[in-house]
Amino acid sequence: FAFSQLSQLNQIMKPICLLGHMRSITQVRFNRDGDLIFTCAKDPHPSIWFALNGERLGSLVGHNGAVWCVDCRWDSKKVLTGSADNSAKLWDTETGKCVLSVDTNSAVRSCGFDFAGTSAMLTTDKTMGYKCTILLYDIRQDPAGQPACQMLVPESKITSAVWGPLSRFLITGHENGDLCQMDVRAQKVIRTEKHHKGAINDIRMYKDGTMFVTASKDHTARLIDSYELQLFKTYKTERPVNSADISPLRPHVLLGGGQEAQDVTTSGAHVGKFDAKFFHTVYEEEFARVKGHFGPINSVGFTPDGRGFVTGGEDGFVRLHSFDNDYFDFEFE
Amino acid sequence: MGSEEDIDVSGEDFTDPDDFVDDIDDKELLGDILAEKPQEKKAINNALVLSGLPIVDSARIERLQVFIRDKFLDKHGEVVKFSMPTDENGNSLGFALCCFQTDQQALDALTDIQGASLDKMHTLNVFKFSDFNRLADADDEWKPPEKAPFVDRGDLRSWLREDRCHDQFGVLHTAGSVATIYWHWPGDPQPVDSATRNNWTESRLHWSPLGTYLATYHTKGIALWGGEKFEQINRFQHKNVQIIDFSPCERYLVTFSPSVTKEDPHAIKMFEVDTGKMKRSFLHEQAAKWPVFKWSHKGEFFARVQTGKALQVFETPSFSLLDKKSISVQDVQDLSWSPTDNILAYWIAETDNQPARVILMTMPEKREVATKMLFNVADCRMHWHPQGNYLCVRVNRYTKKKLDADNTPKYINIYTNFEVFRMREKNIPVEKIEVTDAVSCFTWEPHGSKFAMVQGIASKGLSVVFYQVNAHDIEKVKVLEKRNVNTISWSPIGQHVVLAGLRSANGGLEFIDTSDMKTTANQEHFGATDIEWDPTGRYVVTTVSFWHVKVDNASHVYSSHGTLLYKLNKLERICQFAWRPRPPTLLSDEQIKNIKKNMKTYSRRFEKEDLQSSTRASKELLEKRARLKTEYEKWRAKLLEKFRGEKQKRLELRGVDTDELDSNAQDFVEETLEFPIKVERIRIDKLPQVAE
Repeated sequence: FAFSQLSQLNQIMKPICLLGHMRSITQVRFNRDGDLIFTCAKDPHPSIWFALNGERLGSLVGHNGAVWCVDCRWDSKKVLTGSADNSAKLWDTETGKCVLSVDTNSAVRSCGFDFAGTSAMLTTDKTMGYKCTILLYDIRQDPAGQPACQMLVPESKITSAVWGPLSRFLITGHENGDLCQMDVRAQKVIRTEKHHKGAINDIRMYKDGTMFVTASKDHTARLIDSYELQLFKTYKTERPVNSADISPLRPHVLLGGGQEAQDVTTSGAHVGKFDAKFFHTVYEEEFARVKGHFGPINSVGFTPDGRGFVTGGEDGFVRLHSFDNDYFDFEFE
Repeated sequence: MGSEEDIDVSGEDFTDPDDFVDDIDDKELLGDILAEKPQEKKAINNALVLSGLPIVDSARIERLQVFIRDKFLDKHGEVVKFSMPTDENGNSLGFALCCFQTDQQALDALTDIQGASLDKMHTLNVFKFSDFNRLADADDEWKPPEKAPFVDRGDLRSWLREDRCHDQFGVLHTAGSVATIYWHWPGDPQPVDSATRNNWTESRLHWSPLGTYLATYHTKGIALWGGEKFEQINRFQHKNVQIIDFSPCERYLVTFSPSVTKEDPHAIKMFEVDTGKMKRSFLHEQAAKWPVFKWSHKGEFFARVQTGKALQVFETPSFSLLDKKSISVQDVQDLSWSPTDNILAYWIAETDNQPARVILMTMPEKREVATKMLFNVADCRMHWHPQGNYLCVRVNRYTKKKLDADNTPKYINIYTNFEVFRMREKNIPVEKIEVTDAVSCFTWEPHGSKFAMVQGIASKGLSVVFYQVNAHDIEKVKVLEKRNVNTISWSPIGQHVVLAGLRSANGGLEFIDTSDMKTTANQEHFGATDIEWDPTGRYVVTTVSFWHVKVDNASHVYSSHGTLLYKLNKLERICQFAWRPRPPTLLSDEQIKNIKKNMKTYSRRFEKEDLQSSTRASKELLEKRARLKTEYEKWRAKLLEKFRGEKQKRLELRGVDTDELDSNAQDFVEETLEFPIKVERIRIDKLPQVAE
């Protein structure tokens, strides 16, 4: 039913390819307005693009290593990046100037502005004898440089993290598949749930912050509520899922992933299953795929208006798609 | 001995308490050693009786003795004692006794010389001396065997009475630890009641040839299951059984296990399925050429080749040699049975002064019905047409032969002949086709007269060639070039065929209707390792088995024309997909013809039924979706309530309402961005001249 429609989708939807990164894309984000795209890759230059036509607004120059994560403040004025060069930087979106840089003990894996945009969260990797750490900075004070508070994570390291509703706590996904609510200010773990059997590669909040979708190495993505971490839906695939997002417009979930690069043994893009997959949020059924990347997809995202989506892959390409009218007419019977 | 010094035992008292009773027997203490304790021999296992010898007078008796020892016995070990009893006149009695040094030597000699021919009139029949004792020990009075209680196993063919003639299939999944039997309801297979079991088998699932039983493998032996609920029918003990074979009638089961012991040296065992009794066992044979014993089509006979020496044909239910002797044939290599008649085909290797021969013999009459001489033969393989209409012998021939240093022949310039025997015509005429390329995957079309094969070598491109056996000749009907194919899989009812590139050949599938040789579909199931037609020829299933590949284990179900119907990928780590076979149809040819003639009436009825069941299925699906939707909406409503409750806090934190994309529209700033749409560079001196 849907696959025939997909082939039409492919013909009409011509994606814009954002060429600018020399290495694998690690994260792709929109600002709240949806007119800017923020990308970071395993090269040291996170970039900002116009969503309208895919032209590059500029690059953020200052990092010396792979950049793992990027986030844009709700008012689009500030950008936060975390890098494997053991630093996180705060940038001015309009000028591209680095306004604040903090050094960490190990690579910064995930970062994020809180709801109000007054503080920033970082999580660091567990390497070279350093424990995985969550750091909170108050970015109103200038220059800051010192974390407002920090919390050591004793067990499995954090592979992805986002702020919970109203930024009362953090929601963290761990390498062993644990999902936790952490109150960093009170230095305690509020709740731990084990919905996944493998590392949680990505957590993406729904637009209202009440629920989120996780993407895991265990070949599934799951829809979970933010308040109680209650599992509600599971989307199964045949390959590790690296990233997932919930459409703000339609009951759809977008999944990206594919065979890990190190496991690719045979040639041919179809073997690794590098398609972006669309699932129905409620029925948990896959209804469409979009081809394009020739390596695993590392990050996906819907545009904030839900009229398009973006994917960033291990192949170094960022592909910006806008849906054609068929997509909005398509209904499950 | 340092450790002993370390332990101070001086203070310990090891004497038993007064009331101690030593109740451990030796068997428990050193059972493993006791098992090897020399036993007094009850039977003389190193003695053999040779019968079937010619009767000679006293003058020639010595020569005969020397001849027998020379030719048959001495090569197997030292003969301690050899005697040939005579009558009062000094004439021999036609038998001899001999004693070897060890049991093993006697056993070797027995298997080797059994059935050897001395001359045209005399064939050796050898048995163990101990068998005499066994017979002598038998009770003089015959006791009737006890009547076994009748066990009602229900209707073993209940699955055939399913309303809409759906088939069943078995799937071994979750890395082999779970097996499930399904009803094949197209598009929506349903597990059979109580037929999903953990650790049902330790290696694979094996259906009996008519589908009545499901055999499972266990360390202790084989278990058979059947009936509506797949209850256990019988068990057959054979430790570490590796491979099995049913007789075509399903009455007998042959098992092979490589682990043999002194007490039980027989690697092959034959059981009766109904009673579970072992009927006969045989000494170790290499399982590589399984099945070692080949069954005739009704299970009346089974036969094996003693390479280079003889054919052994056994009868059922007695399990003894037909006419009590093997058929001695010098240089015999291999045999096979016709799938529909009691005709045995075997071939004899070429020797210096005799050509190779393929011989067809009826059983039990042992009448040769056809013989074909062949020259320069390296190897032969026999392919019977599934309905027994033809026998095709694939002959690998050479133009030159060399002998290696160790006297093994080496063949140069191999080419292939196909000798087609027309079994249904008078005197069984034979026709020949010659192929110069390398050949693989020879297959007959079931219920038809075509055969197909793959020709060529992989590096230069393979082609699939179809031949048709006509009334007077054999015609090459189609050559499909440049095909990456290593399996030709015919529909069990003929006409349709799938050319598959399994395993390393990437899983390309080409569906061909051979009535007009048109390709009906091309499909791909990447990495597929197996392909199997359902017994009715309506569906084809390809599987990526966990035993070969660790990712994407799934089965794809296609129609006979190559339409992908559905994927069985919800099960994890699928190892094996096995259709349950069906017994042959009970309809006569006439009835089948009638059905084909009235196809339209039938298909109209079935289409109507299909439509009904699909609307029923879609109705169920819609109901399920409606239920999911209500659940989801309830869940969302709860979350949205919380969300609305926090609105005030959100406003405090951000200062503006950002709940929806346009909820702070009053703050929007109009921006104008200019993008160059097109860049064109023109050199001014090359500007086109303006016309004057």
